[in-house]
Amino acid sequence: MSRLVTIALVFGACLAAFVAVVLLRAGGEVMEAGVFLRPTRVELGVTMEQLEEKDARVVWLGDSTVLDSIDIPSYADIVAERIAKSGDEMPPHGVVAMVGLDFYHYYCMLGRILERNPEVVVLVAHLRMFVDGARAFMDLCSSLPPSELPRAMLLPFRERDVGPLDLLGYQLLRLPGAETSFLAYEGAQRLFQDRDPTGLLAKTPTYFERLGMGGRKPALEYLRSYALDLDREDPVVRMMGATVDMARRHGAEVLVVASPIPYEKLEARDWYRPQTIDVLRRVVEENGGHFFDGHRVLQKRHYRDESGHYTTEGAEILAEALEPTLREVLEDGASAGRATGAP
Amino acid sequence: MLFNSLQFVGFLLVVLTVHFWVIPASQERARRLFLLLASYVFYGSWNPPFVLLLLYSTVLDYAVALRMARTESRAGRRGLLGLSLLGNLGVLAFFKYGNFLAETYLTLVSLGPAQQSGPVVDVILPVGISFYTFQSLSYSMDVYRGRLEPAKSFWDLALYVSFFPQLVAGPIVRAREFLPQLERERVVRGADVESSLARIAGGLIKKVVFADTLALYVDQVWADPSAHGGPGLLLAAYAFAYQIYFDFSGYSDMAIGLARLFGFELPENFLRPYLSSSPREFWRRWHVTLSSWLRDYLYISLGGNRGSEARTRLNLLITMLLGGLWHGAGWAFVVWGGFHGGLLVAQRWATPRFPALGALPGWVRVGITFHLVVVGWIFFRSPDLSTAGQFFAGLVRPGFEPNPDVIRALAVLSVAALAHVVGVPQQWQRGLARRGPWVQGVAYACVAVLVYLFSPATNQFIYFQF
Repeated sequence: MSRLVTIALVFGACLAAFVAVVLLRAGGEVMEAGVFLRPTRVELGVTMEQLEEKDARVVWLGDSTVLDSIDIPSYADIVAERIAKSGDEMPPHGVVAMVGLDFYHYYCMLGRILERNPEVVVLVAHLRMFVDGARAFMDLCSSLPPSELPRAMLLPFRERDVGPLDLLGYQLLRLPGAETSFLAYEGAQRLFQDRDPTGLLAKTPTYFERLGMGGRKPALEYLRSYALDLDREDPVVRMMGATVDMARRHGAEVLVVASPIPYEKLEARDWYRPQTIDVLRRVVEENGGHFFDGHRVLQKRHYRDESGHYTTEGAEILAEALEPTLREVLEDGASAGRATGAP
Repeated sequence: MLFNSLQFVGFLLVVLTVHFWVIPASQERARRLFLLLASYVFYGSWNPPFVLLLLYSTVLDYAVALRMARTESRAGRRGLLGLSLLGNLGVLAFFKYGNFLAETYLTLVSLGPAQQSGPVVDVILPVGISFYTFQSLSYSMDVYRGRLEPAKSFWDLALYVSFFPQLVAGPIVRAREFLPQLERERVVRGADVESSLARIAGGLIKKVVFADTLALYVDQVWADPSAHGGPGLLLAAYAFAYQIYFDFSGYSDMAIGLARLFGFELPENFLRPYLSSSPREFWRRWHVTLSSWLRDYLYISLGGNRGSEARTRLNLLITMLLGGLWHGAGWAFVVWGGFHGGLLVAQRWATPRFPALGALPGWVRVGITFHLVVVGWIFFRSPDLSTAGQFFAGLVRPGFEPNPDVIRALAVLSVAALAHVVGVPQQWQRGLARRGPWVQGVAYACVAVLVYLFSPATNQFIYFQF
């Protein structure tokens, strides 16, 4: 037995020495180097803090299509400005968005959003999310409120390689120090691999490779992928329904915005599927949410690319089209009051 | 939950703690029940509803074996065995071969004049189903043959079928090897733990450092064989030969080591197979527990070598064809099995006719056997026969670009091949457990760091899909 204890102690001491040397030599860099946990733990974390500072009453959850860029504003900001300019009250809003997010991630993050008692939650639904969602960022499961875990276990998390034990395991990230430890664990690994002079270490796939966006898809392939015949049993559709349901159960109004895709090009090839949009609408409405179909709002020239990013003019037109629906939802939200808080 | 994942480390620590420290040693039955529960949790971590399949196999074979023991008539016993075969193989056929059969059917009907469109099925393959189905079947077949008494306890049989270290990718353990271990007192001494740790560490290195690093190049080449010249393809073929060996034998090492931690001995699965000097010897060294299962329960059931020479050859071919199909529902696996069946038949035919073959130097016979096995691996790794065809056609294509991926593959392949030939992993595993605790502690820390550095690109164990 004493031999085993010695083995364990020497093993632990060697690992501790390894960790100490790594942290002493590259401590700061280590915390900056991670590519998987960092976007969700650090970057989204900052956005969440901003929501708190703003006391946002309208919260958008979205992917890259709702993010602003250097020269193109987000349509979420434009529509808020329009409402404010008209003299009506536009409650403070915030956008929590990142490339590659979808309804799995929204569902996981919603608990933290609802802790801030928003009146309205706007969810961006882009058809890309239903094609082949990103298998990254599933550490966001750690944000799932414990009270939601029994429901979550019945949802199709398996599609993202997350089993019931993983759902429980991710909760460990809530422990003090655990998040930092995992960030350091991932960052140090990344640093070693990037600096490996022999090239023998297996390189961590890049952020975009992990999202399945390692190489730019040919435009036609992108368009073809939108020809989806979804039904309500589709895993992402189920996650969408569960997300709307969770927000409604806690008193927030929900608006799902089906963000535009270049439908003219799709129609020309018979790849546009209106019945799929009907399925999304039905699922949202059955769960008590509002649905805005933006698919036919924009024309070809309003897109920057086939993946559904807009020009400035496109963003403005979309904001204009969205405004009446958002006003209705805001009114409902204002009359209902703020959400009841964390699940 | 892969053996080389942090989740598994957490799971194992909890299971070990509860098994050895929370449940007192006097409560052996409770310990076994806890191991059963842990095994079901382990399997459920992939897809919880599929634990019902495990339960189904166990209940079926437990009931069949009990009934068999009470049945005097041969016909009755045979009927019960048929029920077990039908029940187990039926489930296996549905889950594993449903898609394959439907696709084959659709291909056939689309060739016909009617151009019918048939049903489309999309069946998810439960991980490890082939392994535990074969284990469970071996139990009812052994009871049928009178080699084994029915299990005294349903829970013991359930633990045998589901024991988590070897549940999803073997070794395939016979009930007559495992069940008696449940009846003995399980004593885990310090030396057992040390040998387990050495075994697990060796398996981790094989998997993460060798197999997964070789996989980077292998996957790249097989993604588009037509984009590579002959030398690159040849390198990929050799690399895959060592990838699959280190992947699978690494898993087996970990399984054997983990089982030993709980006081169970599992059979060896790999005996340095690439040192075989004939196809027959290869199958005695490669995936030993499967080849012996096929021999005992399929080949011998077909008549083995008791009939005419032609019948023996046919039996060999059928066994290997079905062995190929066991690995996966695809024509490439069938061809791979047929190829090995052909090699075994050819050896059987040639040995008495060409005695000079046996007189060739050992290294020549080993070299020939290895290259024949590598040819088989090309079918095995290819997703379909047309990819395999592209691969073979490309072998004569000139052009070789020694980029960093190629150099990495060459370097790892050289070390892997040398280690295999010299027997480093086996010596290392045996030797380390006998070293002082300081040496072991440092060695395991080095293994942990190596696994950590290499691990982000780790692949699923290849044999999980079977």
